[in-house]
Amino acid sequence: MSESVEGRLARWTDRDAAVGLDAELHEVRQQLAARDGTIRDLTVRLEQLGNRITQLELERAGLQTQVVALQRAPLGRRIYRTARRVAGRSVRRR
Amino acid sequence: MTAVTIVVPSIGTRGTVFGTERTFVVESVRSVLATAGVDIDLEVIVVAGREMPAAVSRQLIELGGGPGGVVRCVDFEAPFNFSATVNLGAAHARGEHLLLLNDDTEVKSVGWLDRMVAALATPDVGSVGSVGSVGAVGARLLFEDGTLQHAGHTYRTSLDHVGFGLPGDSAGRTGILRRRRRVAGVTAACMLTPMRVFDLVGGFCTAFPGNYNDVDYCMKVRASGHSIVYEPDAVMWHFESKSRVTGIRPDEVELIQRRWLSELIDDPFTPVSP
Repeated sequence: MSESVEGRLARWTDRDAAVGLDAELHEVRQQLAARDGTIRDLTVRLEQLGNRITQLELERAGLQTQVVALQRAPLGRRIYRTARRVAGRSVRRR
Repeated sequence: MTAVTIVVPSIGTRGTVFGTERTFVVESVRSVLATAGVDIDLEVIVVAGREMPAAVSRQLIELGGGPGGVVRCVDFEAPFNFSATVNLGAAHARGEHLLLLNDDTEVKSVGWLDRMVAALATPDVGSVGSVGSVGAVGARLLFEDGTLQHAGHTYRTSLDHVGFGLPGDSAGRTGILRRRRRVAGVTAACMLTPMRVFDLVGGFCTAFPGNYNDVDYCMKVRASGHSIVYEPDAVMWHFESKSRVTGIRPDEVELIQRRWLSELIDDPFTPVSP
């Protein structure tokens, strides 16, 4: 016996609902996967930024040491020049 | 012989085309009957809305050779719902294939239906991937002024017609408007689909009464592993106004996005500027 028009329509309604639900489920799973991907990318980026901060802190410490060292050098030079001047005067007096 | 059922939803609207007034559905069906080809076992089902004048229904049945002939009218008593009218027509169909046709169309190219049926049998056309059999075929549709209304759908954030508004004989970049090829979707204004595929995906979704029902159908067909094909040698006039503003309902937008958003943001079949 062939299917009635009403039977066919009812079957299509049920089928469309099932296909639509599958599509929505697939869509949500796609969005979930996209979020997971973004979180993974950001986590890697965060780790890279952490490493970069550590590297910059090390470089900064090195630069700070250089600043201190360079500030000490002129003091030494001033002592040397003063000593030489005093010694010069003393030689000229004789 | 291939049995094709043509489903034409209509309320018997009249309008002026090429300077002459006509009842759209009558001239559409007349042109179909005159050009369908001898290898097609044709059945035409006009799904008549409540506003359809009885005289137009009678005229259509006479066109098909009288009661029991090729043309049947099926009454649709509910408020307008394009998807529901398509489903009702399809539920009455005897053909192995369904051709959904708007009533404001007219055949332009002889052999159009043979070409569309042949396109259904094309296992793998176009350049993107390889999928199963063809699940729907669309035609090239022209506005009254000869410009292109439809050469397949493209879904790339917005949902558009490929080549919309170009001269009707445009080849498009790399000739894509003149080549049978896989597309993201086709309009239900003229769409051929095997009954087994229509059955498989549950026909048209009635939650899309006016818009996106064809997009949703094509996406369901694609999700079922079938491809959608554009057939450029099946040419129809489509006397839809170029400036037609469709009343898109927010719930239609929300549902199409809920079902298919991630599939509608990029189109693997059609370049950005066709």
